[in-house]
Amino acid sequence: MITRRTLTAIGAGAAAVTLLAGCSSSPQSGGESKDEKIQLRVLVNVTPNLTEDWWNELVAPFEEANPNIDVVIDNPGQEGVSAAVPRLLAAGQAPDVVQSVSPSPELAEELVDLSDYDWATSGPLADQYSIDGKYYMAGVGVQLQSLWFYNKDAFTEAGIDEVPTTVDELTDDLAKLKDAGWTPIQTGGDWMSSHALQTLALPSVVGENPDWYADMNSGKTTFSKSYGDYTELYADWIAKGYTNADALGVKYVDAEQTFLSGGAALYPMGSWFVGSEAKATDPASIGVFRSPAVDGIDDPAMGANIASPYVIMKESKHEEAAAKLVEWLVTDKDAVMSQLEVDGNYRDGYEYDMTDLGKELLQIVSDTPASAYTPTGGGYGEKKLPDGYSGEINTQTQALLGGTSAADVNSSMDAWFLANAQ
Amino acid sequence: MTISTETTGPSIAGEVYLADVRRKPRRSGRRRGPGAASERTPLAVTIVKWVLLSLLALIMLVPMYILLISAFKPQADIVLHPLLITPDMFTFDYLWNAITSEKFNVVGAYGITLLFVALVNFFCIVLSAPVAYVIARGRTRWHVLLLVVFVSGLFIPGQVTLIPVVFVLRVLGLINTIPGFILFETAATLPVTIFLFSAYLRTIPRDIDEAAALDGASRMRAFWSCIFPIMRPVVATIIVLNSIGVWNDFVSPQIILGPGSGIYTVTTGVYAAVGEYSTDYTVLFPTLLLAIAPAVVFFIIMQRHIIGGLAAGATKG
Amino acid sequence: MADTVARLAGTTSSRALASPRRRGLTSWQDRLAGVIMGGPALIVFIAMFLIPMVLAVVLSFTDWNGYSLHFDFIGLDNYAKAFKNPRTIDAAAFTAVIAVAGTILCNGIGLGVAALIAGNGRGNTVLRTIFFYPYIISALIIGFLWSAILSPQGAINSLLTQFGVSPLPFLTDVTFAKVSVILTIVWSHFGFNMILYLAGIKSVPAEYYEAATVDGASRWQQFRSITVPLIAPVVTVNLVLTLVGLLKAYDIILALTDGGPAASTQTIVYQILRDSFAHANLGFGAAQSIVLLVVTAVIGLAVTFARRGADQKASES
Repeated sequence: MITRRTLTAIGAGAAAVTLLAGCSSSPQSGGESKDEKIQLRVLVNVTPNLTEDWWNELVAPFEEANPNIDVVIDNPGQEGVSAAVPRLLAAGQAPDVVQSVSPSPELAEELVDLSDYDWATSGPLADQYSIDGKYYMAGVGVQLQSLWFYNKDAFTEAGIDEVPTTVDELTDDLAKLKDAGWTPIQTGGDWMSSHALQTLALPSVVGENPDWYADMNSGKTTFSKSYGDYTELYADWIAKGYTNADALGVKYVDAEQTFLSGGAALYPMGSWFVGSEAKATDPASIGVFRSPAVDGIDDPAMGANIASPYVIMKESKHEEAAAKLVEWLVTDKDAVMSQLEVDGNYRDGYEYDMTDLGKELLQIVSDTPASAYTPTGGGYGEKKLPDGYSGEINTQTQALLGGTSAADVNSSMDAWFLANAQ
Repeated sequence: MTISTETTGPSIAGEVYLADVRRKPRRSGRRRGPGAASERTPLAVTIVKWVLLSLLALIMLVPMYILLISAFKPQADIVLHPLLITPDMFTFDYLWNAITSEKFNVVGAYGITLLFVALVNFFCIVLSAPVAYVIARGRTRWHVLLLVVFVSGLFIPGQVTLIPVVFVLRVLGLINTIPGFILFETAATLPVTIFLFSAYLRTIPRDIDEAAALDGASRMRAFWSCIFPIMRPVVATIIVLNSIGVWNDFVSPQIILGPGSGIYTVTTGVYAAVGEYSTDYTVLFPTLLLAIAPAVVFFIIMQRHIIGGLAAGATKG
Repeated sequence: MADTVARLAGTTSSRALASPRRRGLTSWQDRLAGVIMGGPALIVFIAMFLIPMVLAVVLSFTDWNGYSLHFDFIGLDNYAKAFKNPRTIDAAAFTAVIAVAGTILCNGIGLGVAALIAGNGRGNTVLRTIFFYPYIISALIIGFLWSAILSPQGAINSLLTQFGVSPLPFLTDVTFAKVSVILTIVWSHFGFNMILYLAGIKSVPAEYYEAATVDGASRWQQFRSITVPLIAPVVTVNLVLTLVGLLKAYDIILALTDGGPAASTQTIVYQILRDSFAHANLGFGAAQSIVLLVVTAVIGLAVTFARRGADQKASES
């Protein structure tokens, strides 16, 4: 029988438990003295190279040197950092430091202005990422993206002596590889679908029109006019079977493993692949060449993004400590080397032990002038496309892989730009 | 309603049964229903029927079977021999990794989720029963309006309210906290509960109110000591409904108690542990097995009560 | 309801005069008790349902990104975008397909199976448990489980290749993926419909069947002319609940396909959540939410109204 006394007891118990639980789970607030432990939450991109363990090891020396600061690594999980940030901001739960988002005019309102710090204003790609002359991020190095990694044995078997230097040559090589029985291009179905298309297209699209980003935003050119030829070419490649047939069902991790174990001839990927190759046990013999442009373009563009950018959120209650951490991350020699090495990033003045593949890539880095650098995906700084572009072009590339015609994809992209123009 | 993303519960089925309470389902000694005429069913039809049912049962069970055995096999064997398990394949390693995984503390998640289920059930009943009583006994238009207001919540999808709720909770300082989550989940259970409770209460004669009032008790006390105990069947239904809903809810804890809070329920924990690695079967299957095994076992043991509570709604006694 | 109230009111008034205590309770004490009993539920409901709803409506007329200090009112632009944006239209269309096809399949299979296992034997009880158990597992986990079974290296394709058949793109081809999503949802959901139908079928008095058997009607005829009309209210409940519930499909899709391939299996709720948070476009997300709310309410009410005729006939028998 449920008596009143029982009910009251249960009620009191429940209320007490809830309150206790509430107290223990609410975030620390209130002022802190210098002696109290400061907790810095850092939201980071977790990848097969950048594991949670690696991150914790990376910041350990900083914590030792600053015993009153505790660095907590936040893993955003499947949604990724750039999706997690707006959500955390909306919930009033922004972390102190965020890695791997690039500042945008909208986001800049929420970021601490770092223009007074040398380590931010003179860091790699600092000017390219600035907004309205202000600096909001500090990065570790440069990461290149318009690259084709290739299986050297495949090229030998297909009778290819030299790496292609134009898109036509690349197309011919693909045919030769297919004839030799190799899967020419390894691509996949999650975020990496559009990487192949962008690797093919950007050197030519931006090489021909360095103001492409601004022109797309202003409507001076359209997707079909500027990019359309390359979607058609890629669709052609897909139709001829130059991409792996199971692409849509393959995730990034598995696609990379397949290429590393010699399952395909070409793998369009960013320079961080060098880090993966260095870690792999017994990988195939792999080389790299720069993604070519079509005939007639003298300066092919090279997709270049900042490696590991860090921003500090204005909502942070520990701006000073956060700035200290970020400064250490981008200037401490050991920390920088570790970040460069793990992901195959590059920075002048920082040499680290590289595999042969890394050295090949270093050669490409040296040979590419900074003037050729272009953002990839949705862009950064002032060269930015409307929000959601990366997701949209990825979806459309998946449609191509699924058999949709290039014409349909081109007109869908045009419609998207019209609907989302800023 | 985000207590369950798929349904708001058999509230009106309860109503159907409640309507039948006066007209008790007759239990004649003989077999009732369509089975009564089985002497005339040809053998062929019976065979077809059992073949169909067996096939369907197989389709329902094989995935569970695969889940069970795959939790103990290495990746290669899972892929090459999905339906087999032999002693050489058998290994505890992956299951052990899942149990001791830092990403997903199973025991912790179970504890937290059980706590949430208990708290939500408690607050839901404490809040809904009195107001349902007021509505059921009320004779004015305001009382009808009150009922309509609560029941309208049945048609409001949880996602419509979830996102603005983030801001309301933020203003209240409850975002990312357990009380905030409990508040939202409890609110989500109110429409169904109040609807079922008030429908049930309307069938309880007012004599009982009189008896309680005679004892000199205030209305509140009269309700809890005399009337609430009679509501046991429908309370059982509500507890089953709400428990399933809260246990399986994913979106609400994911948004309100996001990954930043460090609190994982069974569902958000599974998502965090499996999400990016869903092709690594040595992570996926053991994690899923750990997540559902206790619940499924509990269900099998209690299935009669659970299904009965759900379907009956309120058959007295 | 009105007649119930009248009936109960009639019985009470004479009693009221007879009880001496009753005269003592003043009406404001009564009202206060009413407020105390009903207040908390109402406050929680207002805080977690009504205020967020109003907020959602207001938000839908802005371009707020969720964190910025300034935003603009942009009138009906978000709604216009919702109706013109191809992504949104595709998601809405697919959500509708899930709701309609899912409801038909769940109810068809649920009713059919219920009719077959309505008897009281042990075998039927076991089958009942087997068909219902997926409902108590969270949709997210079911999605992950089936994503492993249907993937290119999953159990089904593995078996197919062993038999020399080329693997099927269950989750990687646009059309296949949509069908896989719907069938997975039906797999996990029809048990619930079945339970409700079982309750309904068992509540049909045996006399009707006995009389019909005497008249020489076959089991199929009995089913069509007795069972189906008499369980009309249960059918309505099932239809409304399933339709309204499937419109909100999200968890299972997140785990099964994450909206892919090529965004072909995104539903409205998937887009609402993604637009509101990941794309920092709360205004647009809110507009979609309101549209979803209106559609849900309209469908729920429409189906309920359309079935009134059948429900009336059933309650009159």
